[in-house]
Amino acid sequence: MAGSYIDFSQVDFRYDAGLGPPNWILKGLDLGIDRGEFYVLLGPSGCGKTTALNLLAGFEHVHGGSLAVGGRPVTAPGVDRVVIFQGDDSLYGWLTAQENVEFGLKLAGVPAADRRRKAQQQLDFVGLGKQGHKFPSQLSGGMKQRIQIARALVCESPILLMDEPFAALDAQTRAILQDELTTIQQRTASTVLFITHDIGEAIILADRVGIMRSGPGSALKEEIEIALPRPRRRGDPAFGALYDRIHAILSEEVTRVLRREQASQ
Amino acid sequence: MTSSSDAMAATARAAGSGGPARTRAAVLKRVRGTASLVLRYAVAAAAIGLAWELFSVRFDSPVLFPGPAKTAARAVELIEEGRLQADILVSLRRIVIGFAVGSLVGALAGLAMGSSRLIADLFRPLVNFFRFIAPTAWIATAMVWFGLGEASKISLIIYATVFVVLLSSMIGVGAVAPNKIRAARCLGATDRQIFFLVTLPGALTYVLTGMRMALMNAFMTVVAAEMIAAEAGLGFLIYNSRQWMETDSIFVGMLALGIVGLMADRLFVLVSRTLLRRFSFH
Repeated sequence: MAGSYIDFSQVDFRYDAGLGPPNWILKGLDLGIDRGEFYVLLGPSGCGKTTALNLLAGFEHVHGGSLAVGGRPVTAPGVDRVVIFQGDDSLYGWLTAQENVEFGLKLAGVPAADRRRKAQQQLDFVGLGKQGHKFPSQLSGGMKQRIQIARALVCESPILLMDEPFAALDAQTRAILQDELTTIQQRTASTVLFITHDIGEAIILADRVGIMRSGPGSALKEEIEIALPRPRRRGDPAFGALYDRIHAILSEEVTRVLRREQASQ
Repeated sequence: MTSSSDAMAATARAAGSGGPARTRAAVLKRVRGTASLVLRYAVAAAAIGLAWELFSVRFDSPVLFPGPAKTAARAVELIEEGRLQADILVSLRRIVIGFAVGSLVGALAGLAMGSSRLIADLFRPLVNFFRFIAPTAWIATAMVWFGLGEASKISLIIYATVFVVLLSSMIGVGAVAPNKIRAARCLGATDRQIFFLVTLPGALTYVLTGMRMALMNAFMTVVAAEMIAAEAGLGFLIYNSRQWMETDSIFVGMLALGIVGLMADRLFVLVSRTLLRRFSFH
């Protein structure tokens, strides 16, 4: 949307399938995210949510339309758009938690003493101040996700791209991290694109939720402002009403996917 | 940050505390572990010795199948003559040089092939062709090309080492999780930084595993290399003893190979674990 900080404008993206016709993942995606906004993208499996995030991260390139951040086209990955991945395979297992957090600063040539101090600040910030000497394999799933968040924050990345970061965690840890992420985002004023399948998680976190159509050639179907005060609780009647509304929109798309899968069998 | 984080940190502090009692328990556990390992090795050695003795008695020919006692006596003779130590040292020197050069070449080539599709496509057919030709098939040509001296023997060990390390290193590069590389790109890494700070450490366990397997190949190849045109070495000891029907000396040579090989393997594992421990964490 023209004028937005993050601007997907009529974005097309396809995967080429050998000699067959191209597999269009996105067709005419229009999506705008404002600076400092927490935007959550929902949609049925395979609708192109992760593709949209990968495009914004610079891992993939648009085949049609345009994608820009702050008016500048996205052409490659950059430290202004750090991704927080699902699971722990993006952490460097041979580095301690502290060294993992320092990694981006080391790449940028920041002197060792400075990067140690900054990494320690971020570890304290995410509640892992005393765990810096441990290796990722010695930390819980929730702690590993906090390390990823600290690694992004230490680089002062204005945009956080989060691809189902809490999907592999147990419900209790997920709830704790959702609260913590809300606090972090409000304190740092980061712009967040967050992908999830969990409607409840979307309502707890988002300023705005975008729901995508089922693919192929997906785009945004509907956007919903989440105007509930924070912290948000699942027992709140307004929460329930929003949940039902999003669920109804999403169900249509999921049913469409199931019908198509049945027809192709 | 939140009370939950504080609680988690407190739990970790509690788990990390314990002082001298905890240290004592850890030392005891380690001592018990080492004692148990030595005991298991001793039991295995005793079982092999017993089976050997039973077979040699049943074979009933001390010349063709000497028992442990006769072999041990021959080993003592060879040690007193200084021959066994000399043969071990000669073979070890060849193995160490061949293994080091082969590992270096194999690791560099494997990392390059794993990192570049172009290099992989260029060299994969050659690698897949040559790796199926046994080092022993090259003995005659190695002697013709490199002479009867050390070069021909060491070149065979290099050949026996290089492909195992190369393939393992190449697979190691492919096994580095794509998200590790993507995360580095997000954080501003250049291609060079990605290679040295992500790909290389990520593939290191595979390189080491390949080297460990290649060490075994090096020991096997040195025997073949020393059986022809050698004047010293464990392979020479075994081959030369065959001509004089000194089966006990052959057994001594084989035992020496096994023991030195076992020690070399344990040393390799110990050094890898001590110096590169952190790389086994991913």
